[in-house]
Amino acid sequence: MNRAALVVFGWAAFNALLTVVLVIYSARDPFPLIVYSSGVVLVGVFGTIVLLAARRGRTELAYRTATRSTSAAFLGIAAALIGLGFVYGWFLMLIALYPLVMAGVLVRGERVDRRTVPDERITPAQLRSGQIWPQWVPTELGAPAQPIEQPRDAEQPSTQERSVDGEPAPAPPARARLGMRTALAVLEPLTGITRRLRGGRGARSR
Amino acid sequence: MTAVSSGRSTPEALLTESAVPRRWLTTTDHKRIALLTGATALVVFLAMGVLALLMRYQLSRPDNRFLSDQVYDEIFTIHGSGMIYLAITPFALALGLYLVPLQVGAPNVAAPRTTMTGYWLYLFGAIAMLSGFSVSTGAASDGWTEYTPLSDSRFSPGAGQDLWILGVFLSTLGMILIGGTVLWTALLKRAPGMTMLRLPVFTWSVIATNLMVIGAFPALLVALGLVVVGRMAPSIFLDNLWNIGYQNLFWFYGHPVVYVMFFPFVGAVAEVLATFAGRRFFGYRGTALALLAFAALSMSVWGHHMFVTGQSADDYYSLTSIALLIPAGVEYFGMLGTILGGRLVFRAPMLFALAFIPQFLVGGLTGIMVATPVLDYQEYGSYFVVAHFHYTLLAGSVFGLFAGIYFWFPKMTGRVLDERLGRWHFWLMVIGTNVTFLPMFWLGMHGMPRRIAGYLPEDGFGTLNLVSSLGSFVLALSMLVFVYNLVFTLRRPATAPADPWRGFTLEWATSSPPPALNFEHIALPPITSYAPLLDLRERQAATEGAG
Repeated sequence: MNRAALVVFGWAAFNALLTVVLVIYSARDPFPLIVYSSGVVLVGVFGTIVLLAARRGRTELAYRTATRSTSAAFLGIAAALIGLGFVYGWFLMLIALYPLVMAGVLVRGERVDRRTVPDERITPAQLRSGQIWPQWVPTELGAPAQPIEQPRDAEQPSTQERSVDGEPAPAPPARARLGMRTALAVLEPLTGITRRLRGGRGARSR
Repeated sequence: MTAVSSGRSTPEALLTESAVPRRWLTTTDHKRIALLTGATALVVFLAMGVLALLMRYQLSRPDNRFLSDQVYDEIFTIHGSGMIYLAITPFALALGLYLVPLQVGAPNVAAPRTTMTGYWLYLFGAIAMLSGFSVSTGAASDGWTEYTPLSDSRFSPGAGQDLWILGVFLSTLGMILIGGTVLWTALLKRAPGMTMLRLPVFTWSVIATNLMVIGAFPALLVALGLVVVGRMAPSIFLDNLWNIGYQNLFWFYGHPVVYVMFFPFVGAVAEVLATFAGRRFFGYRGTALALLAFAALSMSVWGHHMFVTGQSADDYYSLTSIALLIPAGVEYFGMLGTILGGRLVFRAPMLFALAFIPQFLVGGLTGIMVATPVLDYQEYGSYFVVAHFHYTLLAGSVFGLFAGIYFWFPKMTGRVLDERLGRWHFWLMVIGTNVTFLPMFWLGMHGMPRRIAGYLPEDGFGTLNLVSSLGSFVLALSMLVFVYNLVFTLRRPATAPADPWRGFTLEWATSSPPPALNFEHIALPPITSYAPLLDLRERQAATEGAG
């Protein structure tokens, strides 16, 4: 399972466990259970959307973002007018139709053209295929970079390591079983102490 | 940047081609949306501080008639509401909005127009709530909780109350949109190489924060819907089921929001401590796990605000509240472990981060006290509770907020805030905060109720209230120093380097302020851990040593 979704589902599962414990203490009063369960379901639904998006490859960096957000302003005005309609009269809700229509009209025009690319030396086809990535120049922070051909892992693009100077970068941490990972996470402070006592990587760096 | 000769244009070119005001108000750049949100929140924060001064002046001596009871009620309501809904929560989320895309190596936030819609909703919500002062019946006056039946149309008539509901609804909806898009960015829009276990501590804190936003904030929207129905048909609140129902819904939001207001600042403090101790954060995995566990537990403790109703499961909520000590302890262990092994550099961000540690501890531990039924029955509704949550939110969160501001201000503006003024700000704020809020613990234990516009000389609250009020004016002075520093610094040329503090995370690998798509020509340094720039320096040092 995608690790990002796993974080969301794990968090929802811990809350679900706490809800089950609440049942023991508050079985005769369903209202808190309904409230808490609803919150857990919301997070679960969010986790499901994350999982589906990850499986459909919606993890690429978003360079083709919209360049204007005028529609957002109109949407905000419409929402405020609808709310004010509750306070000062329903006619304001009718006025809210105008900014709503404006937002609807503008929303498509704000999208970036398909030909738009993050760097003029990269073609849209290269970007879509994920076959190119610029090289960072470590000696000058923020200096212009050179696009280099580099294959990317189709299944797990987010864990792909880049190489800077020809040497392969350290691999991501190996997968371990859940129990072991949890135990390691809990014991990390202790392992950090050991590392510090040994004067290793965790010790002072400058 | 110009369009390319091939006819293809870059988003960066499109993002920077319109006039300045329009460029900001129709922006899709996460940094600008975050700066708009943060600046609005800062203005609201200062305005709410002025309201606090009015309250403190009123309470500085017994039987003071400076404010009428009704105006005092309106002021404490808008002060609390403004600080929570319109100042600290938006600022916390704005900090995440600015930094998370940079820290995960993304060029922008996911769905920037949705994020900008969130800002507009927040802005209109703030205007709606504060415009309550301009209506003939006055602003809302039932406290930031707006308990029913007090807030229904029988007991709180007038448009001010309605505008409060509208303001909170819009701003909360806006925060959900902002929180959702930032969470989406952190989970799915990471740069290649940025695995989940290479996310910086700050980003983990924002993930935990936004999980709470997704899970808990909608409950407030439902609660507000219930109040709206109740204002149309107040008879529903004759049945106590709905009053308790409202409290359950409200506190299901109301407790996690406290964590939303400090988690990003815990993350900010962690980054500041690591950078100014010159070493990577101690106990990274434990802290990331603790942040998630802390956030999950925070969803389960809301009933401890309802002990005195007699209709909450005391044992459960007390148990889960005390369990919060475990993840909190792990986080503190990480922060202290980072300091203990490092070479500390005492710049202004570090001073604020160091003060956060003991002050927030006071707020946290007194929180565990009032989450224990026997103590809560004694202290509920007293100044002890006021002291507790101000230690959490001001002595804790706001110190973390300023640590973050001083730390990331060069990145955001290209200018380093003046260090000498920063130190003045820090020391005045430490003195002001503790002189203001420490006496409130004693006031509460001696029986002074919260939300009262005055007291009699024979009550014996005069001296401690006077001390507290004097402290609040020192606090106000510290804020004036900060505002002067802000204005003074912004008038200077932007000469800050990309990495003035020798930071560890990706945002320091780009210019100050960053370009439209965050990293010049989208190039990133190799991401080898949660402190990639420190790795890079260590590798360079090793290479030079070997050479």
